[in-house]
Amino acid sequence: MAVNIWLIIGFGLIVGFLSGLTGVGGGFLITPLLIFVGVPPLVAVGTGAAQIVGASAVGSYAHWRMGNVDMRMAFILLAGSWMGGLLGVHVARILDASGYFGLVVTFLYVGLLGFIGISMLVESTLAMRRGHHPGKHKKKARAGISWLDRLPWRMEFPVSGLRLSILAPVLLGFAVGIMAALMGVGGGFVMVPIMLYLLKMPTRVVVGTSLFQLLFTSAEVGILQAGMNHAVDPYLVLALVLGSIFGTQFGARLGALMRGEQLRLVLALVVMGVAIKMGLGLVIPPEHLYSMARVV
Amino acid sequence: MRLVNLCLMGLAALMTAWVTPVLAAEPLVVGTSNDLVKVTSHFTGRELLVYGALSQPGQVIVLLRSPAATEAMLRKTRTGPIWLTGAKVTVTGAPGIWEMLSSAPADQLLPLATRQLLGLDPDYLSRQASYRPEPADVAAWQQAFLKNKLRRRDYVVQSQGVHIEGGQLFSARMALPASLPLGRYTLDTFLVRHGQVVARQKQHIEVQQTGFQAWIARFASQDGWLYGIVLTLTLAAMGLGLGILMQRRLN
Repeated sequence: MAVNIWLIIGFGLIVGFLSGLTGVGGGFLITPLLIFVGVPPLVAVGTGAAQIVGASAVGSYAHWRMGNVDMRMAFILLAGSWMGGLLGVHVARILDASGYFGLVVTFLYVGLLGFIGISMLVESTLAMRRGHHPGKHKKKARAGISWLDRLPWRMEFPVSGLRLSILAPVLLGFAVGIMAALMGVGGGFVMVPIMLYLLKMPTRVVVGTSLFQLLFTSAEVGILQAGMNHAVDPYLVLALVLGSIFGTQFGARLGALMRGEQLRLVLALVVMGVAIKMGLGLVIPPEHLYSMARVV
Repeated sequence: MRLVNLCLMGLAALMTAWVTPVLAAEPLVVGTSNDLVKVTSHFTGRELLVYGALSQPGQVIVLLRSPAATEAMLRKTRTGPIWLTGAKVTVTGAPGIWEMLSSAPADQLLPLATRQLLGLDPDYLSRQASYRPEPADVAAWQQAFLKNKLRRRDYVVQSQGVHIEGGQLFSARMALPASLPLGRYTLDTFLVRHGQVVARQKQHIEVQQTGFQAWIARFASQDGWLYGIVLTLTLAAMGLGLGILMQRRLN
């Protein structure tokens, strides 16, 4: 595997820039980009997870300093996500040994990116047509909470002002941990809406808590991918982190000058583009039926 | 049985190598631009220059061969409209890098049996390798293996790659790919006349990883867990440090 390191720094810059612009973590773009340039899928996923540690460290620290992290919630989420990460890395290892990992990753990404892209596209065009931000769909969200109230092992979360079964955050964390291990993403785009609309956490602590837990989830997954699967490339990951730190800062500055729904439209189009490219790879007859793969 | 055969063949090849130069009184003198290729972080494919003198006329074949490598191959199969990864096969026993340069097409210089014996026939190399788990259509995998290696320029055949000047001096330029398997490579130079090898010179070239990169690679493969922990802490510290620094400068 010979990849131009400047290209990788460029990827970090672009994804960091987009993430600074829009506030969405860019992990779900890093892994597909690495796969496109020929990095073996498992290495792309392992490296993608590890780079999140570097990319999210400063944000987590800032939110923690400002008191925006619900620590009790974060640790219960982590209990779930560390289990999910452990299971996911094992599954990744088994899939890679049998040669199916690349295929599974492609399917997962086409589904996930297609879903994110379409929902962002719809949301941002609706918002642009209306000319203002959409309201918080309060009535709709309240309907989903009744089954949550029936779950056992309820606990007080004073920072969030909630009384909630610990099963909900453990399961959420578990799903995010599996995603981090199989796809190399932090999972903020899944976690934030669920925290907001399903768990009904206050907006103030949602971003901080999700960032804080994804820093430690990706750290766990990164260590597991390196130790168990030898799937974290040191040069790729350093280049990505370097690029994304600079990109994020410039993106954030530019983002302050632009309208939110326009930015989300740009990101939605990028995400859709990546999903379509990955999806085409499944249908277009391959140029070569046989290919070389990584030896585990 | 195959193993024994291979050993015997190897021995025979070795014997010709030892015996012929003595009989022919040094008909072939070979030098290389470097006996040691160091793969560092700046390495992006390098040229290996092989040159020498012939005391008698003939054609020259130069063969560079790395130690045997383990490779994995995937095959895609079509299910409905979707191309899926069908099977994975591990290939062992074939060289990772194999480059043959000659002053004329090798199949015109030497008979097939000799080329197979001396490791000068790429088809034969791909058939000698072992494929696990053994696929039903092993011949298709063998062909695909060779095609992939040639496409990636791990295997190179250049039938005009050796230049002979005035019937006395020869030179060949070999391009080495950036990702070289490490280890002790053999460089064989054959002087060929009338369908026979009249002289052979064997040399070794060490391909090593040096410096910081070698240290990292060893660390990552031998102590994966510790490497992961150190790397993760480094990334967190780097992200935190650089992030705070940038925010201070921009604000």
